[in-house]
Amino acid sequence: MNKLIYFIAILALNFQTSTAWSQDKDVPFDKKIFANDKSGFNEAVKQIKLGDGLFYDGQDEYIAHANMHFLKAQAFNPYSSVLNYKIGVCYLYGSEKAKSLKHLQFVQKVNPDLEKELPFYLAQAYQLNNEFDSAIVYYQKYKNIASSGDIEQQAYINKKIRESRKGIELMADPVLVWIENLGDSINTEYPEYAPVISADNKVILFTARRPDSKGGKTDRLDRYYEDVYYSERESEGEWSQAKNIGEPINTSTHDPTVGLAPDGKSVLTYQGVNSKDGNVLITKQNPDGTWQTPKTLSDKINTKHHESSATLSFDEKTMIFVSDKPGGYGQHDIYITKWNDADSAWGDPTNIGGTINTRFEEKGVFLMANGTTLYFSSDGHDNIGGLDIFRTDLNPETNEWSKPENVGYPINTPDDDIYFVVTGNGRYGYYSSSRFGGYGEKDIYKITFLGEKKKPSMLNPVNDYSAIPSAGAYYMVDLHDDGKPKNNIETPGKNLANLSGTVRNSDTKNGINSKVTARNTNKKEALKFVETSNSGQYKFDLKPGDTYELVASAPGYVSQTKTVKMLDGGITKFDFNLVPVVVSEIKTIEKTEEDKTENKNITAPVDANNTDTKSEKSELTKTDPVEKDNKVEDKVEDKVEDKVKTGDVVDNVKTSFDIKDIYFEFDKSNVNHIALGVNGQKELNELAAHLKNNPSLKVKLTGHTDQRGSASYNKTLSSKRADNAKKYLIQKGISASRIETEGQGESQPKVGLSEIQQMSTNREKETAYQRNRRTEITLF
Amino acid sequence: MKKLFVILLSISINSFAQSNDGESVKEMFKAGQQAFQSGDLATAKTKFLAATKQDVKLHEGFTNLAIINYMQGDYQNGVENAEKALALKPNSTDANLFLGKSNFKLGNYKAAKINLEKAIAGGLKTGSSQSLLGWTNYSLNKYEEALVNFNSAIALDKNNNDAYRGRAKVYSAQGDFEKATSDLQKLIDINPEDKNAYLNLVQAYYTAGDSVKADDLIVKRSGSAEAKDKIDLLLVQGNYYFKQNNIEAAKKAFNSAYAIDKNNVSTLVNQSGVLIAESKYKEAVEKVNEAIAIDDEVKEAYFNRGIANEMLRNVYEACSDWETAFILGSLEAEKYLNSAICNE
Repeated sequence: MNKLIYFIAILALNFQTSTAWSQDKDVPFDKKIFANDKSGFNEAVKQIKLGDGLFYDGQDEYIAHANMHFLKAQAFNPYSSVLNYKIGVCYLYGSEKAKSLKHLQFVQKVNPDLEKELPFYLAQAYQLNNEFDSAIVYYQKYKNIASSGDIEQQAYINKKIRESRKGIELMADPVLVWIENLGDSINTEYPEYAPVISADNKVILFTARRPDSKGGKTDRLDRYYEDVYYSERESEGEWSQAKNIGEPINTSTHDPTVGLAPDGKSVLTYQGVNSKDGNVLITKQNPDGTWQTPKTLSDKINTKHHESSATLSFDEKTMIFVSDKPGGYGQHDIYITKWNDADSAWGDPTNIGGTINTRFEEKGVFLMANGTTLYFSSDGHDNIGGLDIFRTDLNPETNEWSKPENVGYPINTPDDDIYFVVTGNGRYGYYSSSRFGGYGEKDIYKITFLGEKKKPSMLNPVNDYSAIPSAGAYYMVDLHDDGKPKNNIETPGKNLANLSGTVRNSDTKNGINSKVTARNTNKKEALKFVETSNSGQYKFDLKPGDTYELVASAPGYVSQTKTVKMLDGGITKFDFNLVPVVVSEIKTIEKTEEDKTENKNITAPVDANNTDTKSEKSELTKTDPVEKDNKVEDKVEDKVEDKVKTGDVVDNVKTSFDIKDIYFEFDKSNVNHIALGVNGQKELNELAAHLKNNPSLKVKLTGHTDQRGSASYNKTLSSKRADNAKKYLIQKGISASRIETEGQGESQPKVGLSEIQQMSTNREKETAYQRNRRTEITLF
Repeated sequence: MKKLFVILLSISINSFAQSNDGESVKEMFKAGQQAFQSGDLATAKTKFLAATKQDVKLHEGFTNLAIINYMQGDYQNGVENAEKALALKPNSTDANLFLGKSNFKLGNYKAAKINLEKAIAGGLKTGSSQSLLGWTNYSLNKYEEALVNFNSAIALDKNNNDAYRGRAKVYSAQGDFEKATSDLQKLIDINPEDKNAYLNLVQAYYTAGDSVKADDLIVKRSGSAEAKDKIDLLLVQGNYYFKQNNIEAAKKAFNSAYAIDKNNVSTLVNQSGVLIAESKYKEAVEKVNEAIAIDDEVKEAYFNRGIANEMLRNVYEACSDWETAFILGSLEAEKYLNSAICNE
């Protein structure tokens, strides 16, 4: 890419003069203008000349040095269009590309005709600052003035326009991530880059150029040679202070990281032979933590060309690497090779194909631990600028790689994005960046992938679009019933009066799922019954002139009875407000025969204060208004009786607790959703609530195991199960003095071993074992 | 022959045997009927249980138990007792009816369909049985059969609201919102206080994409509806616009609901959803906290707080919220709990 750009950078600069002296005007380096400060002027000119020497050398690596001189001159005179132009171009070639924009904008403002290439550089600067719309404008402008006969140049400008359009697209739909600097345990004022990570996110290796580099040598730009550094962390812990990995991985030459096996025990490094020949080396960690001497990979992988990046599969039997050897699609391409067990050698590499490789660069490969997801960097796909990171997935059935997808903004930027690695669980990624706010030069950053934007749950009102049975009119069948329908037939009666209303929670005023019966107290008539939906709405068609006893009941509420006399015609409205049950005392727990055969649960009778009220009618009679046609109708006979009924619909009163065993996963005793499943924890929560509501009640928790494992182990495990359930209840606010525990081991299985052994399928057996792994609850 | 006669005689005597307290099966049965008639279902059940214990072939007793079981919401025992009755009297319409009703309640729609069809074939001609069969067929995605049932139910009872509601549901499922809204309007005609019909009608308009009619109906209905009903309509409105990604309109609806009742948990939870959509995560947490202070068993509240907490980088708190939501039954929360977010 730089080659393509640089042909434009060889400029014949025209120093122009201007007499104006304003930041909105060009102020050239003219000694007449700076006659008052000759020495300062001379020093500035000297710096410009030094900078020009490096600038016109044409090598990218000198551009940054040239800029150092230009910036010194800039301090003397900030308003020279020519100098600002050079500074802008230098920034574009350095590590702080985004800084180019303000200098080039200044040139565009004060001297737009300075150079023909100004729109191109300005477009680049806009692109690097994510201002893609402006970038397109200036690329287009430059395209219009550039030579139409230069096909390569036209194609390149078109590519930059496509990149900018892609940038607009990706920025409009950014990937949800957090990007964090890894901090001073990893990053320093020196460059850190090319991180590699173990699949479990506990070992990180990276390349750095620090003073403690092995051999301490520096290059022509006074940068220390590259060495490998490492850091480790515990689960959910911080990274330890990074250390130089030392010999034999690091040598006195450049030793950058290339890859790390998913288990963190094999490291791939790069060793350059010359500027065009580089190879990948591999080293393995010894059991004592030391490293073996790096060895070059097979000749089939390392050639006399440039192999710069490689990645290993989890089983270390597949290697994907990068090479610019001839025969590819262009520049560096990605290749794949398989380990041949019979030969104990890598097989012949094959080009990974035209879906991934392009005529542009493909570099920086990373294969995830799943073995099918490959990340790589390229400037030949749908980029937004420079090298972008792409993801492709292997279809194991067809052995084809998917079309590479740009991993999106803000992971990818208009600058080069390369050496991107992801942890085994896909939650975290690591890469290096020169982004603002770091410790200096390139730093290593952690990316946390948040996935698709999570949609909040929205509550809908109770939607009674479900089946709501009409009020049924129910008779009991008579003896000698012949099977023909005689009862429960609701013939819509003529001249019936409609009675409707809502059963509500007296506290919240919300409708509740309830049952309402209507009994004609005047004459024999089918008992009318309706089960409301969650809205609590009910409706009856009743005989005018007759009196009806209405009973509304719902689980967890005190039933309510009202008596109403119906009037002729019209619609009457009558609402119930049921009071939630608050049980003050549980007297006894007993299991009746009926409970055993029908309900399979234990029902606690209600408080003694209420148990005798069943046959008694409250003396309290109040006059509830009954609405007719939505108006209060005074003529309605308004004898309304409220009474508390407890015995007849005991199942509807929240005085019972369905005792169910708490089941555990195999060999687990901890009380959480993973061990118990949601139902187990819910049972304990309900038990805790029940115990809170009934302070005189105590509970015994008896742990049991299945028959696998030794008896003594199972005895301990069963005790743990009971103890942990106890701890959980204590956490929920239940006093320890109310909880007894006991571990029965495998001695009291629900399903015997002989019975289990006779079962034909493993599934049946597992189900049986599951029934035995439990903690039983006994209330007393 | 003589021996057989003795056995038969024995069965006959046993079938009306005396109980321990001297009450005959017949007396117990009658007492059960009387208790039922007086609305005392518990006593009625006890009497029929005792009667059927004495006479295990008393199919009438099992049928009555099935009816009481059904009325008490004990559908499983309702099925068992109805099946016992049918084993003794295979053509019992009532036993088939209540077996069908109980099976419907248990979600055993295939069985319910068979039972209800048998009851209807046995001569049961009621709007409610046709309607229930319609709902059963709807639940089995047999829309055409359901329409036949609902039409029959309406023919038997022109004010059968269940049938109109069911037919509207079928029409909605078939995408025929014109007919669906017509039936829902009929429900309102039958009972102008049928708040569900208003809700359903508003939803049908929104589903049909006619937000103008839906919004108009909400304004019209809001004049006479109770506060709770107004809030429900505003929640439907807000949720519609939220789905349309019209966050401003959703916010307006929820804020209107909030102005009516500041303690409505649904409103508070949905306001938290809007705040999350607006990336106002701290405010979302505060809003959810208000909801949880009122009702600490709303899984959606914990789920939303989990999202907001994650975005505030309080990952531990987020996972804790999702765990609570999961315990309260949120499957969506389980997805996040099992993901790498909460399991490094």
